[in-house]
Amino acid sequence: MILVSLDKKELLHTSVQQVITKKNITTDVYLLDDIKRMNDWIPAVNEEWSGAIPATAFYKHGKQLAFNEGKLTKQELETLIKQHL
Amino acid sequence: MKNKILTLILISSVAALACTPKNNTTTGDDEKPKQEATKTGYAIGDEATDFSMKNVDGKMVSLANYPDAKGFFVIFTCNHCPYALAYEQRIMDLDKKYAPLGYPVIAISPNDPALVPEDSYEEMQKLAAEKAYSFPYLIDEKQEIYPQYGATKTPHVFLLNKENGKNIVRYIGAIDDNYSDANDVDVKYAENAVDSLLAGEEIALNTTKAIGCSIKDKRNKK
Repeated sequence: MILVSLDKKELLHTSVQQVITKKNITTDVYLLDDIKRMNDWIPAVNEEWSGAIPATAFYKHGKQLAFNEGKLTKQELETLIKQHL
Repeated sequence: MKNKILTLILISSVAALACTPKNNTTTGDDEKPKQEATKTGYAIGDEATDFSMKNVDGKMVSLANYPDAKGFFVIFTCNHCPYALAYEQRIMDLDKKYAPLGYPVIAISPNDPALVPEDSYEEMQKLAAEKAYSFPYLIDEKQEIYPQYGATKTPHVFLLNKENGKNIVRYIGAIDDNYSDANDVDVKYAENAVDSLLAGEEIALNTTKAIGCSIKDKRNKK
């Protein structure tokens, strides 16, 4: 699992780091700060993505198999993962 | 990580985490069956519906209340979302600049206050008074209007143009290309769109995508 934070880069060592510590996050976390090209990379992630966050993408062998805009419950997340294993 | 076959990429922000409802640690409502909100919404060229929603001053507001308007910036925004807040001043500036030219701002908060207390009607009233909004700030109490427009996030702009008595959607998307810094904007998408309408020209870029906070609705997947 990879987490991508869309926070401002100024928050990387403060708020973002705090959340990582507090939530005991052990996966890789990236901060995407390419603010001015949102209109390019949002459709590049998924054509259907309106830009609302949170959003989750599933990839297998580099191919995107599913995309979800909005929140997922743990149960919904597990179901989606099992579907695509 | 690299040898895992299935990769899951979750895109979010601390800001978004911070604004999730305080009571979401309980999983009680996760079990409830979810009524999927049908994916609807306007495309460019569609006629936008009028509405009657309660403004922060207690009065009901409709597009029909503006017979002299050439069109509208219908902007779905809210109190709590950091992206909406980052654009607050620019939304106020849009109204100051374009209401006199015939395109007033109509701001609508689409969120369910039961999920986001900061977006309650009372909190909306406070914010509008504090910032002296020159435009109506309406609450989509029944959460019926935002799905018709196809708003998915805050802020989300719909520029309407009055054509033969109908409000036609002419631009959907972001205000500009830099939510974070108003002084470092290269393209003012929304202003360019309305300037084209005012000049009687085609809008070069009529749809844009930008990051925003998902609209909080119990009917949506949580």
